[in-house]
Amino acid sequence: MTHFHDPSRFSRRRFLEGLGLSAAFLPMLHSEYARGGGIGGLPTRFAAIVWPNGVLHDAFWPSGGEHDFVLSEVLSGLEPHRDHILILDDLDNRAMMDQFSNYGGHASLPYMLTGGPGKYKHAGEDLAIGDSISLDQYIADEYQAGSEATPFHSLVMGVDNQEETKTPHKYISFSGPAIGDQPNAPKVEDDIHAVFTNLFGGAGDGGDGGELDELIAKTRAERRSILDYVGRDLERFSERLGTESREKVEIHLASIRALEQRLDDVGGAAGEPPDIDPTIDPYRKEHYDQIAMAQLDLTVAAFASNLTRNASLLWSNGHNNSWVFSWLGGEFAEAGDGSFNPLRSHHEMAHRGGGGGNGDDQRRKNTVDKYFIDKFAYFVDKCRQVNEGAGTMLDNCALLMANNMGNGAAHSNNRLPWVLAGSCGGYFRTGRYLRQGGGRPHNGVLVGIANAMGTPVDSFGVAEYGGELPGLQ
Amino acid sequence: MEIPDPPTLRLIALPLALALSTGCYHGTDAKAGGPDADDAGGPNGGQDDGDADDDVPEDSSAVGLRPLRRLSVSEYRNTVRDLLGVDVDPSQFLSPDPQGDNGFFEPTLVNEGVADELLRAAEALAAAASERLDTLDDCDELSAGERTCAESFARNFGRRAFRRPLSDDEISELLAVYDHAQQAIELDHPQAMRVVLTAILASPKFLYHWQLPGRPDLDDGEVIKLDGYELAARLSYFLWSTMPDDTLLAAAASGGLDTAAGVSEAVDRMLDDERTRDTVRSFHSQWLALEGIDSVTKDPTLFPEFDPDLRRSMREEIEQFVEHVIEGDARVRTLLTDRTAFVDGRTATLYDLPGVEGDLLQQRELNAQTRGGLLTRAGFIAGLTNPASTNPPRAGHLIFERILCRTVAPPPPGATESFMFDDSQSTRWNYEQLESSEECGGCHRVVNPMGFAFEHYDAIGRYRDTEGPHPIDSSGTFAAASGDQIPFDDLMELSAILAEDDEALTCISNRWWRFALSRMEQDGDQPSIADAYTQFLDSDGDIRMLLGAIAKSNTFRFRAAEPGE
Repeated sequence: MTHFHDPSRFSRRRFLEGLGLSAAFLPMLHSEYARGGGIGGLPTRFAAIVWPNGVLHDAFWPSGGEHDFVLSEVLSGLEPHRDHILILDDLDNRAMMDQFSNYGGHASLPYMLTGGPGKYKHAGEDLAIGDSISLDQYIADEYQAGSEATPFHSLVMGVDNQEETKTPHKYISFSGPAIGDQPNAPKVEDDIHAVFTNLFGGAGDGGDGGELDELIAKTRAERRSILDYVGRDLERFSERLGTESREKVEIHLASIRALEQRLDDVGGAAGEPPDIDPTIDPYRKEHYDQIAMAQLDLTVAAFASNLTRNASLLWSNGHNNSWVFSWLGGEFAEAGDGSFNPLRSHHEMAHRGGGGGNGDDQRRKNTVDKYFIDKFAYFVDKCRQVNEGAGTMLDNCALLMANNMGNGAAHSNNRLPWVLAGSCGGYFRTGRYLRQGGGRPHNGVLVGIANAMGTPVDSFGVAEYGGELPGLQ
Repeated sequence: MEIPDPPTLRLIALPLALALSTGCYHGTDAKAGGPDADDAGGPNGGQDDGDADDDVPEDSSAVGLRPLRRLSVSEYRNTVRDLLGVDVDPSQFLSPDPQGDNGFFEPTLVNEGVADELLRAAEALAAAASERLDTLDDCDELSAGERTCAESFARNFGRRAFRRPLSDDEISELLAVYDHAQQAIELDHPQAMRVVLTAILASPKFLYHWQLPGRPDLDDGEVIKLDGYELAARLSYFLWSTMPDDTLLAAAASGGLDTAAGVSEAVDRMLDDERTRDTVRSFHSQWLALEGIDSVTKDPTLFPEFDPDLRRSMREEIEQFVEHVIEGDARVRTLLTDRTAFVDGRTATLYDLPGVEGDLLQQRELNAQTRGGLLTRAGFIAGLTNPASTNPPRAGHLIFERILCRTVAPPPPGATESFMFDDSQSTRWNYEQLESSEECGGCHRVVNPMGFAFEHYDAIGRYRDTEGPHPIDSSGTFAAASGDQIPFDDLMELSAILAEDDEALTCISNRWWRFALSRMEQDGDQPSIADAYTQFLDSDGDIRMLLGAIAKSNTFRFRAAEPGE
């Protein structure tokens, strides 16, 4: 079992003082473990990390066979965890390729966790938006409806998602079908400090009966009153609208009800908060590395405390012109070298490394992919450090590291570089390099994860792409 | 001025024909009215029609839908500025709006995260505004009593916040919030008023561009005339990007917005008000992607002067210029050719204008040999270049897409990987190589020439005669939709050509419509669009005339019932 730390070591006052009254937006903290499909009745968790712009196939994939595979340099950070991973080769994003074959690979985000179909949208270029629920949101909905409910539905985080203005490139998680031309997507939270405050910022009301508690109680009562007023307003508002407008108002109303629920649901012990450097600026490029690490730490802590069991981390918009890997050394630094196409954006690097470029271009591209894989290895490692039952938390997790493209330079959606870690309660047979031959729809992995998480489905997304990918178990 | 013929089918058809021949275009993205206008029941809007169009248009296809939409972040910001007068910028709480199909900001659905943001913004604003309640509603608690003042506040402030009078029930509901805050939560009067104010700011009646219900049993597409308050708000958010003022609300109350003549009078007053500046800034910033200058990075070894101060000065120079044009003769020709500039020491140095120093903006005339019109402004150009060099296809593409409303196919998969830049040659030479490529040439032959017109300006928009050892050649040919090939020597000449081009005027009209309607144009809008376009051309390309025509049009004053309504 994970050990809960004494919540009193964590100061509510610090948050109230640092962030003003609104920090008293009190999250609810449950101490009881929900029941789950994990080993010994422990909860299972799912996290998906999406990193963009494909890989250089020759440098990425392992050599050797299913069990005696030899990891490439790019994947080498996973060597300590080789018994716990499943390297998934031969996956295609068929849902996208079949629906809109003319779309470039950058437009694939809406298909990754939904399995399609997307909904056509013209936003300066031909693109699709997500038009069905994504895997993480599906599982979370199922859990919240049952006895596995957690204080937080799910974590949906991104790195500088605000920079992207086009909706087709902004989301991997979807709550359901699009409303008109707008994706029904949870907010992608860029601000790690806001996530931290939401998850760990309050310690319930088991306080000292002093002034602070009274202030919190009054703030909560005010909010309840305001939300109640807004909720009734929305109910009447929706009655007289057309279908599409009414759907928009109903989503707003559901959000108000969710906020009310959060107010009602206070109590219990806090989980152990990770250390998050308060000086990290969520919107500063030089801090992206620290932001990504903080998101992993927050996810691990939230999983370990059973605050939520689902997380999606979108580590770039669909193009990723924004990441500059200055922390990897001078040649990656932001300052241009005076030549054309300074090697500064991930996007540009992927194009130059992927074809036509020289050895240096390829080396830089692989360095960056190794960087992302090393982050994933860190995540896996952190999950293994949490003791749970007779094993570790990783044993009850399905952690997916997924790229949106195969060969990024060619914008291809074939042979997606995806890696799964954790057996998810013994469901997946890990320690293997899974080659199936010839473009399997990636939907098969989504189905497998849904099944492993105890929320079984026959298919996910477009039904014709079938059931669970053979060989996962 | 020779006024071009009103648009006809040829404007629509030619780019498509061209598309087949180059394998590049998808086609045009804008209609001026064109084919649908003729058979959609005769436009009859316009300023001189008296009350001819006061009745609901009989043909239900003659107006468009008005889907429910939230206030955008900038509308929200402007609204609370005018409503509350507090020094809190709510955009610090709110996620920025993404771009909608129509190319302009489109607020997202209110998921849980957004609902949380909206509540936090309402709380912060109400906390600040509750310090100065007396300025929001003049009521003396001592003589009138606290609860009477709460009721007065709900009635009077509520009317401004919701942009319409509240029903007695609605006032009672707000008073219930007040009573609960006082009695159950045990707050004093000012604190209870803060809770009421928060509730108002979190209400959908404040947050949405609401509309009154149609009659029961509406048929899909049936036409509904907007009520005076609905129209007041619609006009205000279009022309001012903020809430209606008291004069507009009074006009709504008195029935002054029920007739075409009344609407026309209101619109003319609004166009003369300097609040149009917010709309003019917002439109041009989004239309021409002017915010690009805020985020681009330049190679500091080549352009050490490109610091945040210079960015701000460049942006301000463009915005002041656009305002100057719209508040002046408002002609498209002026926008694309005029040389008036508002420069401080930084931009004056960049433009090589002597005698201007410091931070204060001064009005100057740019050098006629090197500059003329919006497209030649440094802040526009620097947003379209690479960190160290120019990017002609990007500049050409922007002209193509934003000023001509032609759409271009994206580069084919793997495009950039096959393009290796030869540093010993000019930028123009390098991109010209793509024109002979089988894969890339279809589009680059079309997009490059307009981009090459920008070659006289470097990556931060400074004028140059040479690029290293290479003399600059910015000449080219503009392929008009008419099929004419019109030669130009430089960006000033290209701008002058665009200023008189039917396709460009159609496009500018189209973009203003999409901005005004907050959506893509629909068939039902076409009569109104065609009518406004005629007025736009008859006025020699007067953008204020276009805005007025849009605001006075049928598709603005009426709406079609939404399916399921």
